[in-house]
Amino acid sequence: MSDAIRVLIVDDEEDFRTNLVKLLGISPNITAEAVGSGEAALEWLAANPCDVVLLDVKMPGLAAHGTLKRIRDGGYPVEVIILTGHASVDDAVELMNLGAFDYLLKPCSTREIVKKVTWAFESHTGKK
Amino acid sequence: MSPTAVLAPSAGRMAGWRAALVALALAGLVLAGGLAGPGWAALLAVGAGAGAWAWARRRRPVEVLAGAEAGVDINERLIQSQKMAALGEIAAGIAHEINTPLAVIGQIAEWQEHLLSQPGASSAVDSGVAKELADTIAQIHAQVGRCRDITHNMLAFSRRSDAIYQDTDLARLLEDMIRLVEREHRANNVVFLRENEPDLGPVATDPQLLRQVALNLLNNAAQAVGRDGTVTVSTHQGPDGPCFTVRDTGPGIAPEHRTRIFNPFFTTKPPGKGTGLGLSICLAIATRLGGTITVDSVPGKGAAFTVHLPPTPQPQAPGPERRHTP
Repeated sequence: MSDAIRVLIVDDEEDFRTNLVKLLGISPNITAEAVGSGEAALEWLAANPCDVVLLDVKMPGLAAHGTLKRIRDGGYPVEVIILTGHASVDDAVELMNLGAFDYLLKPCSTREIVKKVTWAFESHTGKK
Repeated sequence: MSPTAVLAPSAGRMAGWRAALVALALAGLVLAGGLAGPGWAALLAVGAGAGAWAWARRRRPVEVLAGAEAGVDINERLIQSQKMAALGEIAAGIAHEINTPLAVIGQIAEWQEHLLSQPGASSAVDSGVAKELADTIAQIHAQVGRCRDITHNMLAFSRRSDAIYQDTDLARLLEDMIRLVEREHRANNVVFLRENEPDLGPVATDPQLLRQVALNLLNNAAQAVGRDGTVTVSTHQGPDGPCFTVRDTGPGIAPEHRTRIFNPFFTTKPPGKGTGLGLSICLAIATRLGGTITVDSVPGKGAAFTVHLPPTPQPQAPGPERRHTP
């Protein structure tokens, strides 16, 4: 538990993801990295340890559904939180049923994101 | 679209809200002019038509609205429904486009707050100025929150307008929605209880639309409780069809508010904390599904909202199957 929570942000909006890396970095127990697509996320996960993925729903290329499926198929031991401005309740239900841990609608405060990331991490370490 | 004369006045107000939405949508499109392609231009034209229709409809007397239910203008209804669907797409598109920049504005305000809280900041900036900066940042947060409530409600409101009926497991649908809100409120010791009538069987309704209703009612109930209380979600067979009830142990509804809670923009929350659209959207959807919502509340002892669904699929408009209540 003393280790920092390793977070990967997957969002095609560059300003959003670079700001979020800075803001999550304020929390002493979180280290955050960001990539701009689902494909890049899978590459990153193949090479780096990670605890929680923050995943946007609509991105060019592999969107959230495809990315989430491949994360699950690849057996990566991560929790996935959906974070999006492009979403409906139906997407939320579908992605939760595909194994997403939780769901957040943009815009939301970093405090909110940190809270959910922490819950996801606790549930994740509980499962191990 | 309203099945009974009783609901017609609120349908009139909903049309007013639609007109406002059109105005907002068009303003948004003008602002987003840089993004406008030929597709958007076509939608804009349809949207303008729908706006004119919504405005005209708002001005129609209630009796005509109720009388139109028995009319035969199916074509007109079909055209109106298509206009509303196009309008919904515009509204959803704008809401989507606005959410991301809104998120970035919120992030920047958070970062400014962080910078201002650094030890060096207090010596670099006059304390009066620092105080004012902090106040203005708080205002940015509050206004971003307001915009967020509006865009989220636009998304909810702009769902496609034609109901698609499927056999639906009501308890499962409610469970899915409880899962979305439960964790959020567990920290405040708000407990969600389920009471499902075992032999209710599948319900013919539009699950996508009904989820919106359930989610709104669950969020309202949990917010009404605040902390240390319960939200009980039950499914049951009512006298006229299947029902579900969301009951909370919050403060209840003041008698003077009882008749107004379903009005668009009516809210008892402080400014910026709620748009007052949630319940009006719920009622609009329930009505579209051929049902209604009733409320039962004793001030000081919580509130219960019951969504009554019709026993068989009864599309409101347009289409060959239409309900005629004597």
